[in-house]
Amino acid sequence: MNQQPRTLYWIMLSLAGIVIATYILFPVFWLFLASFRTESELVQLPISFWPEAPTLDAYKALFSPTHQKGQLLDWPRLIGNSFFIAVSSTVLVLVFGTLAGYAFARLQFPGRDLILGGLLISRMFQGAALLLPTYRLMSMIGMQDSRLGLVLLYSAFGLPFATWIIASSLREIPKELEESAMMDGASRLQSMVMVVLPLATPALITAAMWHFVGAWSEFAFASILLESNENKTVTIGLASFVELFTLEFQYVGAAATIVAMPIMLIFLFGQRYFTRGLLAGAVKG
Amino acid sequence: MSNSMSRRRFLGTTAAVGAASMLPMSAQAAQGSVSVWKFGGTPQEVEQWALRNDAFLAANPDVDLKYSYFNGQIRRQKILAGFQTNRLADVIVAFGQDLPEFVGFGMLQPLDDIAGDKMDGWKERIVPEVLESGMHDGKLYGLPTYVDMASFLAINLDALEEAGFDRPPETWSELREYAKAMTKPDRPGIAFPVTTAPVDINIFEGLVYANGGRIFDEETGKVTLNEPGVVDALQFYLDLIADGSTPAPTSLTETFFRDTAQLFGQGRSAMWIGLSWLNTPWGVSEGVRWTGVPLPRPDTASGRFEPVSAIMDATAMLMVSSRSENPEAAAEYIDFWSQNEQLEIWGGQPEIARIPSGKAAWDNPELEEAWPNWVSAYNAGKLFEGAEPMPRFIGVSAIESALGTAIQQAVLGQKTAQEALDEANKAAQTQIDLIRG
Amino acid sequence: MLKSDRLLAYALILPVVAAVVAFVVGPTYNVATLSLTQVVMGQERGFGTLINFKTLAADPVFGLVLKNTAIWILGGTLMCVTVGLAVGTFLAVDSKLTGWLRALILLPWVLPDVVTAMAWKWMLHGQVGIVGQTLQSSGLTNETVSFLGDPDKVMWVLVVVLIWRKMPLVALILCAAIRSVPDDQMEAARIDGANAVERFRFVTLPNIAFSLTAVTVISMIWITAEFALPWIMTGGGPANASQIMSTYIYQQSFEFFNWGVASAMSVVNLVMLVSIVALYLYVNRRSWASEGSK
Repeated sequence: MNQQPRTLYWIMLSLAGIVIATYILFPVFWLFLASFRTESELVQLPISFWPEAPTLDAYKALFSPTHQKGQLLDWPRLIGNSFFIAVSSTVLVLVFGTLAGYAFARLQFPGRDLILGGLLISRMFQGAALLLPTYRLMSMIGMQDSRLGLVLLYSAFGLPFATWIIASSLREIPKELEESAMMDGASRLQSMVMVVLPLATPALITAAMWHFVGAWSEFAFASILLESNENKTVTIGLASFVELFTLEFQYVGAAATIVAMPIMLIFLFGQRYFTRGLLAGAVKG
Repeated sequence: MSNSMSRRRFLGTTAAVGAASMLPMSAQAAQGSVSVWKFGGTPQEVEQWALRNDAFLAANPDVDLKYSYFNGQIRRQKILAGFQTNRLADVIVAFGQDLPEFVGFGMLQPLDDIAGDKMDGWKERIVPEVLESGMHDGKLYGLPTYVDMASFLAINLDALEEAGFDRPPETWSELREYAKAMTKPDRPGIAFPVTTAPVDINIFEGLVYANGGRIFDEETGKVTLNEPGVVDALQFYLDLIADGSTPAPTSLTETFFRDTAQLFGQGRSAMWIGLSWLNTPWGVSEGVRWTGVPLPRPDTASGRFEPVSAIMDATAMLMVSSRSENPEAAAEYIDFWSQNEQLEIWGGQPEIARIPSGKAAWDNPELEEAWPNWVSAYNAGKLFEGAEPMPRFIGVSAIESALGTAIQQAVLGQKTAQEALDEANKAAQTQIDLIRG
Repeated sequence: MLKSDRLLAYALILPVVAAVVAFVVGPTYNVATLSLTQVVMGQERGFGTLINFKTLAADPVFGLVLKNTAIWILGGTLMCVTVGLAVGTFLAVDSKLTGWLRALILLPWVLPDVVTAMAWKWMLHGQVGIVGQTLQSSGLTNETVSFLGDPDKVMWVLVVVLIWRKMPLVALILCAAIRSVPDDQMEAARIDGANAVERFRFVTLPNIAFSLTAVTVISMIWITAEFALPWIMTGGGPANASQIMSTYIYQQSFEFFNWGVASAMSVVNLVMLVSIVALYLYVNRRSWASEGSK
């Protein structure tokens, strides 16, 4: 009696997994396949599912000096810039988001909920209308064509939500743990760093992943703010293949693969922490 | 073959540049820094542009060239942002259709003022009708490197012969007849793109202008979308659909010009209506024998304006911003692009998709090989005869957008041509009054 | 509480508040004033006019835009959270497959939306796209399907693509929340004889109430701001059937150079969104404010 529902459960689970995986991964997989196709195959109808004459030409072209020069794309540099921007702003967001999150979760002060709500709501006003005012602001402070400028801008965009997730997760951590540490003579700061933060790791990782990917894949502001080739990011490089005239999905696919790889490796690594369920264990113990 | 060809031409270019730098510099050699913003383009064009910049630097060693290339889709927002913050580049490479708005907003300065001494050379080297398209209010604001023209028809020659025709259609009623005869159950006789892409709307405007229609009357300040010249052109699209000669309406509204070209190249339609480049930006698919001809003309033009043979627009036109601090170097850069070596990029080698504006480019054998019809029409003095610039005035995008919506509504059968255009006319008039104040 | 605590609190939140005020509130204020300014020939003329709002009210397209935006935001958010919850529940199960999926599921996020929008547009096309071709060759449809060319379908197809892009992170956040539900509570419920559905309803849901509120608000904000996806895929067409606030704002500002009207629309957008979210936050205040749900 117990055996049958279990099998059924696993079949259902696997089916669900396949459906989800197809929906989520197929478009990405299709781009990946495109990276091995030739230009003539890309326009050919009917479409053949697997590349007929797989080639690495697109990858080679991306790293060949003439192609790079023509397109003004220096991929190692683009990737480096994006990493710099995404990592720096993630660090900023984590540090300041944690500080503020701690205040919102643990301290009493007038206007607390109002400020937290206000921070969140501030993010609601965005999109196309903000492009010009933001550009004006950035150019006023002389950061319209600067990586540092984007770091600050993305951090400001990411902080409200990061603060919110961190605050909420800190709130779930029993106060007693911290109080007992303080009773043992630890200062507030010590107890926060030593006791509370380790327990909040899943939330910190969530916030970090969310912000990192957001900063990594941002296009609208980067494309209008950055002018010099030294400062450009991967999203700008990727978008240059999807011009109105071009049908260069082999390059899009190849560049997308190169861009996605490092991120995916980080996530595969990060998700081990993510799944450990630190919080659940701690509460039980 | 094309390799050796490009090497020859490349050597020719470097030799010319070398010669130029040997010459004694003119009294006021350009110096200082000059920034250039270039937006989009075909892959060849983007690549060539960057490569030729090196030649410019070699010839002008005292100039610090700051060249930035942007995605074509952010053109207007980037230029606007730069304008509002006083950070516009010295030289902007934008569309001819942008000219009146940019001039009206005070973003550009006339080239007459800063490059007066160079303009004789430009007139000498550039096809007059094309150079004319850089004019606004009697002054030259832009140097066109090439133009696109509307509207043209790509014909699958096998399908044409199979249906028993020995020449391309010449009038709208002939085109209907041809399209019907060339239609097979799994292959429509004709396709035309009806998405919101500006190019798709330009293609339709080619029909409108040929029919004596206009979308705006500059003299009265009135939008003229619901006049017979436009309505009948739209009705022509609807007739082709009603004849059963086209793909399903929802397919037309889904398929923009590039996909339409791909379908034609794969033998999925027997003809398609497009801009002058037709299938060339994406190479010609093997197995499909095709030719490009000017779109057939209406049997009798029903609009109240002069019917034109074609409309054209330069999508890589060099302009100088009004805030440029180094107009001298900017003029030098523009002059560099007016030289035959540069303009020949569009003479079939390497770029065959565009109609070159340089006179010298027309002698290139590659161009003749790719576009025998253009070259013979050009040599006979007929290619640009009766051609006009594409619609351009302050608020042009608002009208084109309303027009695009009306075309889609009519094609989808939501409204008749007249109803859709009446509504678009009203909406566009409100928009344009607002912009013009 | 202690006064030093209060000072400490303000010191801790200061950087966040300052950054947000400088980079978000500043430009927002800018847009608000612009909405009350008439823009003529690219120049700002005359502050203190309602002409932009009047124009908007008289615009026949704007009604359609509001309707489409409602589908986009409400339909999108609802589906994003429901699908995200289902997928998150699935991912919370321990297995090799889910372990890999948890990382791979973020792929839609890693690529910029300009690229994914182009890829979807290409894939979905009835004739040159793999989805359209597969549907037809497998005999599921006789006619060519035109997802993006059919005014009756286009909005929903866009929502499906939107979910594809936004749901993974929602799923991951909810997955993390579900995994942190205390095991002893789950065990207790099981001993009490609760079935899977009951356990989900009475143990899991209350425990993830905060995260659910958070992702709902966050997805709503994301979805409202999302502009590249619909703009690149349809440009608001066909016949304005997929014209939404964000695309129309873009069109008004950068195609028509009418940024007074665009700003007015942004203000309308903001007011509507803030009201919805404020109401939602107020109704769900017990799940996020004060000392939390427990």
